[in-house]
Amino acid sequence: MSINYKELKDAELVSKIKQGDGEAMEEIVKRYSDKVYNLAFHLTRDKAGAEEIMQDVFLTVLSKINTLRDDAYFSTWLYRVTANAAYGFLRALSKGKKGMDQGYPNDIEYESTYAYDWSTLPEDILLSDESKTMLINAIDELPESMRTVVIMKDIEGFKNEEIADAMGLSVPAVKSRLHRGRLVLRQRLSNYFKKYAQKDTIPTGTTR
Amino acid sequence: MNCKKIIALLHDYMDENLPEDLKEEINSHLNECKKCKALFHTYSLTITLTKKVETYCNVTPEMMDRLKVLLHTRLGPNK
Ligand SMILES: [Zn+2]
Repeated sequence: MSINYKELKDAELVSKIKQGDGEAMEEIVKRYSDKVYNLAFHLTRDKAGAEEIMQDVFLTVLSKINTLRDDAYFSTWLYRVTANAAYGFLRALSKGKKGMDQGYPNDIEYESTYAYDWSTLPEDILLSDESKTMLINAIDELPESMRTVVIMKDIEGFKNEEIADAMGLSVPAVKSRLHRGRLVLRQRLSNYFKKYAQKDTIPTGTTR
Repeated sequence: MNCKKIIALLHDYMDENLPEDLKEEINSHLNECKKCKALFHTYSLTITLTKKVETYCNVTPEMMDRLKVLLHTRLGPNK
């Protein structure tokens, strides 16, 4: 009697992989390759690099799966392996310098942002090639701690709890990094879009 | 409720994670404070734009083949 691998839970597949079952491994690859690849791509912004990372990740699955104690935590573990492989890749390229949290304005400074509401701009301005490029660069330039969380949550759609588990952070820490990251991006967008503001629409009122 | 508090609570407010009374307080502040209203709108839109600028790419069949070859050599005699 043949097993229908498609119907097995992750944990069941994992325990089979631990016993060297190649078909179980194939099913895991089918389930997770897109997610691993996209996370790697968004963290490194490098297509060839993302493929390399994906290969490393699945090789790591084969070689290290026995160290996974609780098979139910497979996906969490997989994303952590992916993020770590992506950091390793960036460090090797010495792109990893931007991991420093220095040079970022603290919360007080966000407040001084003037209140131009650029959310009413037409879509062709909001989603112009120039503004997209600007935003992609801004995401790239976030400190590593914020960037990973923003990418996992706002781009890949992970839940806060999943990010916390994968990154070894508490949920409040995830939220605070996410919030700060979003505020930095918002600030960058505000600076970029302000050229579309008419002077008289910028209220000069002080913060209460 | 002041502006500084609004910034701190924005995240939970958007996640619908706040008790009703706090939500009410924020709503009423947003209605009278232009700065915070703009902040709220632009913060939300920042999230939307972040989602939109990123492309989701699928693993191509060629990439999948290369991966499988690699894994098979590693799996070796077990397969
Ligand atoms: Zn306010």
